[in-house]
Amino acid sequence: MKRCLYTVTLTLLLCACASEPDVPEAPEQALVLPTPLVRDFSGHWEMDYGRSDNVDQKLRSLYREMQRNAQRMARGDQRARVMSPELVNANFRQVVDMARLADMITDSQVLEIEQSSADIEVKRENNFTLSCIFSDGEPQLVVDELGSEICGWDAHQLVFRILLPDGLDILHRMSMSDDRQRLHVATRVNRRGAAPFTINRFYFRFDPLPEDYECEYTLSRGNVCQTGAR
Amino acid sequence: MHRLLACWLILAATPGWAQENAGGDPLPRWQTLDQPQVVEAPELERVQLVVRDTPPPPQRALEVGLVVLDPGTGGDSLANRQQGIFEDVRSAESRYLPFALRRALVDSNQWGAVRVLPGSDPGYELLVSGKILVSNGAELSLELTVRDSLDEIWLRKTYSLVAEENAYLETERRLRRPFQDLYHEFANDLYRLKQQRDDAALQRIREVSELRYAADLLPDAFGLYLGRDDSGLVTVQRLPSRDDPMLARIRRVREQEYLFIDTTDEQYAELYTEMTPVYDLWRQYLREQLAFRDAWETRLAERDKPRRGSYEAMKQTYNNYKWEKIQREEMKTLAEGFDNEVAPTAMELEGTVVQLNGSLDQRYREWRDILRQIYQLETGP
Repeated sequence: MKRCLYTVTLTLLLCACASEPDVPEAPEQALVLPTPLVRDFSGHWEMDYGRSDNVDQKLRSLYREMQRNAQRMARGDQRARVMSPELVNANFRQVVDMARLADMITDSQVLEIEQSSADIEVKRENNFTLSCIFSDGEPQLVVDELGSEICGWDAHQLVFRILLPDGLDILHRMSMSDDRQRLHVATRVNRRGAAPFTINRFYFRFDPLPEDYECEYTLSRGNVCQTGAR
Repeated sequence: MHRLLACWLILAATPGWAQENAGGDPLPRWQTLDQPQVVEAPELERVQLVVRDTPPPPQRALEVGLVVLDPGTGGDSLANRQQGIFEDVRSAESRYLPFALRRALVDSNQWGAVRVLPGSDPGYELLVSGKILVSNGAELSLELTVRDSLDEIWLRKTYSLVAEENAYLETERRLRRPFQDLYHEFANDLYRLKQQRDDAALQRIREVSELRYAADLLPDAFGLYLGRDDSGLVTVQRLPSRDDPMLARIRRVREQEYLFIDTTDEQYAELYTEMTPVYDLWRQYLREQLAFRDAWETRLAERDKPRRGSYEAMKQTYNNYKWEKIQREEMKTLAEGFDNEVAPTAMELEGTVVQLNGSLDQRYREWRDILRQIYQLETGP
């Protein structure tokens, strides 16, 4: 009951955000967050370029698909979606923009994840930290001046959704292989009136070099390290 | 309350009062006791502390207690985080700032003992309590209330000050502490309020303070000496004899309590000394962050807006969000660095190490209970 109530509240909140002219649009549906099945993502992760999407290839493939579709349409093929060549080009420009954005926001080569039973912090190189507080498995919603964030568990996946002005909608969906050595982050970038673009990034676990000292950050002395702490 | 207000109005209209306060410094500015008045000291104004050359005569040397401030954080951690309020830092500030005010009062040489108290003590001769409204390096805003042992409110006012641009420069800090004008303004206000009261009024405050302490310790014996008038102020119904043995015993107990408070006060002094350089850095960083943010927002406003929906527009939207988040993360790191440095300050008390954070108030209450028990043991059933 509490969950239902929460989901309804959440949906209403997100809809309320969307009614403002300069805030993110309402998602098509609120995140469905069943009983959390918590995975421990903590550790250091490095991007696996071999397995991750290559944006150029993906765009070429999409462009070919759109061209094929235009050709089918020219032949009067019933399967073709009605689309003029101008529209193909215009749509493709939009897709390219979305792809560039998706590429930019997922270009962190290294992730450092700290997780406890209460929260998780995904520290991303050259980007801001994705953080989530787990409150009894309920999704956490943070509404900010510049955007809104919702995060929580979706079965074994950890989901972060960022809703920004002008209808920009970013969804990070994180999952881990059973042997806990591979991390998959699927990022979907969506914008009102444009086709979404999804980019898959894979990471492999690595252990940073063990250090013989322990450091603590202090304001006046910077990092203060002690040797032989470990 | 109306009577109080009327008193203030009469005082304000009295020529003698104005003359007493004519010394180049502005008169206290207030309008009503219920509505704290926001008075912003001009940015570049230097508030000179009114200092006595010699200590005040005993009859005018009221004792002042400054209660640890309400940090003003509320209970919503998420909301605090969004507003850039760091609870650990505010908690340290709530102990640091009363000590900064205490220093101004001590430096003025206008008072008896001035102590920072872990908890409220309504019977104190003059009690200062308050709340931190804003503390972000660029601005400090404190809501302060001063009441005497009669429960008469001397002052309820919001003190706000915007730090000068060079307030955190090393050379500037050697000359004067950041926000020193605010502490001085408060000390001067308090001094002027005392000047409005004659010796007899101050003597009454001291008598009531002693009797309230005694009544708190032994309500059956001393509660009858006190009453309240129509406006709710504490009044003395009658006085015990000067050589009342019970009162003499209570004075001894109170001295013991002062010893305890002085011990804790030393801990606040230690915290103050240790925290000052770190706290200055913290406030300096905060101020820089705010300045950076203002500059960033100005640049954003001036920049040509790219076509809506274009890559440039989406990138700008994302980057605005990203820099906002990164800035907050930096603040969090700084706050952790602050806490790492300040939190280990511990005090050695009665052979037990007690962290200043949290437990001192409880210790104070326990101590008062012990004193009460000692007293009862001394006096017998």
